[in-house]
Order: sequence, then C-alpha cells, then structure tokens
Amino acid sequence: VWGWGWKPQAASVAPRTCLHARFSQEALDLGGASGRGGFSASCLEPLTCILQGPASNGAACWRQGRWRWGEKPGNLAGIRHIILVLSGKGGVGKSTISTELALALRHAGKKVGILDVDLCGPSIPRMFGAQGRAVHQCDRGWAPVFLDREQSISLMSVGFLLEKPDEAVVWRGPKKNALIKQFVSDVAWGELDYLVVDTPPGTSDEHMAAIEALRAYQPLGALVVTTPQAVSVGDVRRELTFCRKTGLR
Amino acid sequence: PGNLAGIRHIILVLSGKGGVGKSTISTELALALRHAGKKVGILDVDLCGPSIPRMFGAQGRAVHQCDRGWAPVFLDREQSISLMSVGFLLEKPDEAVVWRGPKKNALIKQFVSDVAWGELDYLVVDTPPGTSDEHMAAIEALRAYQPLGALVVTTPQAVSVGDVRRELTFCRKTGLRVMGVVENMSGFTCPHCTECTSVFSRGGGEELARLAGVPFLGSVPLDPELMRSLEEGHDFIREFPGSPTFTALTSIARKILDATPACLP
Repeated sequence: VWGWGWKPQAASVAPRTCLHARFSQEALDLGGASGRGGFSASCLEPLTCILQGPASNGAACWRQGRWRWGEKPGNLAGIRHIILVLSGKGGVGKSTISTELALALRHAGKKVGILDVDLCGPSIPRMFGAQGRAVHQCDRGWAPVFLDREQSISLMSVGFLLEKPDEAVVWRGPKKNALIKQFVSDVAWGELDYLVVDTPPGTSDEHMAAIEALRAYQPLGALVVTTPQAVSVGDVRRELTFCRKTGLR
Repeated sequence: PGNLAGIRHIILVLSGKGGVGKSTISTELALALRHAGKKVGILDVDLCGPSIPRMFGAQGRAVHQCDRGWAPVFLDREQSISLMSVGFLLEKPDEAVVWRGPKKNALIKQFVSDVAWGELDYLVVDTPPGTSDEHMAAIEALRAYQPLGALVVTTPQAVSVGDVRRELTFCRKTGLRVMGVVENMSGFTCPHCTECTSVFSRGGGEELARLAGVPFLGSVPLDPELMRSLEEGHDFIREFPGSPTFTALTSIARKILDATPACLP
C-alpha cells in the first residue's frame, strides 16, 4: 500500500517507468537499503504511449514516471569528462567533428561515448555504420549501442529508436526536453573517459534541455564548430553568446 | 482581410538537414523570380540563425511600423523584393535568440499576420533545419492561405538524404504539397581545368525525388562566385548571367513559375 510521500531508501531505484505502468506487488522490495530494490512494471498502453523502443526487443514504455524517489548515483557518475559540440549554424560539421573526435580519442586509448541529442536529424548512427541497431534495456536503464567488443565507443541517438528511415520526429519542446532528460539520466554509459554530446543547429529547446540536464555533472566545456564563411560566423557568434549566457565554458 | 490577402502564392523552403542551402536557394529563387518580372517577399522564420539579411546585404536595416503593421524591409525603390527576418529585430550581431517553443510560435504568428506585405506574386518562406516548433507554427499560421507547396533542398550525400526523407514525411503528415526537390552543392567545377568533382558525393537528390515520388527540380553546383555574392549581399542573378549556376537557378525558377496555377484577375 502506497501513501503519498512514502519513499523507499534512496539507493534502491529501478529504471523509470511510464504513467501507464502498473507495478507488480510481489516484485517490490520495500525494505531494500542495499539491494537494487527493483520493481517490475509494464506499460498497459504501448500503442498510444509517447515513447516506445523498437518492438523487436520487447521494450516497454520508456517515459519518465512521476515517482522520483531521490537521486541515485546517476548513470553519468562513471563519466570523467563531458564535451558538447555546438554551432549556431547548420551543416558546418558538428556530427562529423563529434565522430572524428571520438575516433581520435579512442585512437589515443580513451573510452568514449557519443550522445546525439539532434532529434530531428540524427546523423550519428549513419556515421558509424550503425543504422538499424537496436537499443536494449539493462538493469541500470538503456544500454548504449557499442561499436565493438571492447566497448571503446558507445552511442546513443534517437535514430536507434525510430523504426523506419523515413520516420520523422515532429515534436514540440516539452516532449523533446523529456527525451533528452531521459537520454542523460537513463542511459547506462558505464565508465567513460569522454562523453561527446552532438547537438542540433541553433539555440533551441534541445540545447537548453541538454545543458540543464548535464549541469550537475559539470561539463568540461563546449567545442564550437564553424565554416569559414561570414554567414556561418554570423550565426556562430550568437552561439558563443548562448554559451556565455548559460555559463558553458 | 489579413496582411497576406495580397499575396498570390506562398512557397516554403524546407530541409531536414542544416547547411544544405535553404537560405541560399530562397535568396536565389527570389532574385530569379524578380528577374522574371515578379514581386517577391521573403519571410525568414529561422529565429536562431537568420541568414537572409546578410545574403541581401541588408544587415542593420530597421523594421518600421506602418498603419497596417510592420513594414517589411524593401531592397529597392520599386519594392520588387521585400524581406522580414528576426535578424532585423536584433540589435547586436552577437545577440542570441534563446527562446523556447511558445515564444518562437508567438513571433512567427506575428510575422505571418502583422507584416504588411502588400501585393506580392510570391512569398518565399525560409525555414530553419529540422522539423521543429518553427515549422509547425509557420505551417499552422499559413494554412489558411493555402501555400502553393514546399521546396525541399538537399545535398547529394547520404547523410543529408537520410534527414531529408524525414522532412518529406513531415510534409506528408502536415498535408503540405511538395513541389519538388532541389539538390544543392552538386559538384565543384574547377575554374582552372573545368573538371567537375563531386565533393559531396552525387545522385542523392534525384534518388530522393524518385523514392518520394516528387519532381526533381534541378541541381545547383558548388560555385565560389555564388558564395561570394551571398557573402557580400550582391545579386548573383544580375551579375553572372553566363554561369552554369545561373542556368540551374533560372531553370528551377522557371519550373516553379510553370507549376504555379494561373490566378483569376
């Protein structure tokens, strides 16, 4: 029996579940101070639920529920440094530079993750030849897509969650914000030296959501990409103002 | 009778991908349509990266109020091209527009309803990349005026085509007719030896048009003269009538003119 405001111990938090979920009582671990205290839930309305992973892996609804039991040591706790790749202008090569930077860091012996928060134009899967790969659930949340057995590069992008290559993400701000928050908090990155965050062009909801969600983890800073022409520089100046306003180095 | 009542045809220029040349194509299409004797307006709804003022050399121009609302920025005395962009409303070139969806929607609605365009043959709407609040707001606001359709711009590479396919789905979902696909940055012709190199791969635009069942309107090559005209705000159509790029751009404009239904007087 749950009363409003009753909370189990902070450490025992299971993957988030959606508002449609119903919990199975027997799976609840009420006294779990040390254990994972998992509770299992399934989405009763997968067809209308806003976010759903690929059907092939039997995924349930991913949407963040309203039961925040208290902050567990986040999935980003094992990440040493976070770098955002930004540009005010589109098409200057943010995804290209993110990809090549990650590959170069791996070449230098580092473990790297790439988080692609461009929800409308997710380019990262294609750049690694990983289109069609599926995202699976693990006990700590979503498992990123690993490129190789050594798990030296891991990826997360909305591209992996869309079923067809023609499928368009036509969402307004709040829904985008929710998915980006989930990308930040619910992906089990594990231990990484660097997390490179590839962003869409502009200074929009996605950027604000990503920066807010990552703020607690003190990103190393932002890499700003431009092309030589004045029209790009004109837009990227605004991006630098945005970085200053949001306190991003 | 709204401020858009005097506009005969509205064309949206879209692309799922950034940096493919939406603003470039919007600008050159407007100049080519003017060259064909039409009165054209450009509405720039890219609030984060307003490129249109620079491409016409109109940065720093101010937007004035008139009795019917905001007066667009006119390029010349004949008022053959008029512009509206958030770039004219920002005071400093460094100023960033860091707004969430609702505020952007409100400004775009104002751009549509409160700008006194007057009589225009074409209104070209330049959009930001993606399928975001700006696009939805613009389409909702313009729906009542029955836009002629959307021009979708891509570059030849697969990564662009991959994103632009999603944009075509967006057009289908919102009921916006796609007038055709334009492939930009199609190839670079060396000015010294005239050999054409496919810097950004090739064939993507035509394949996309074929997959989506929409007309392929043409390919625009990568042209340093075009780039320089846009940097400096000059009229490429007037200054380089002999170049292959001019031929490509005017051919696209001609197809748009041909696809435009004749209006009742």
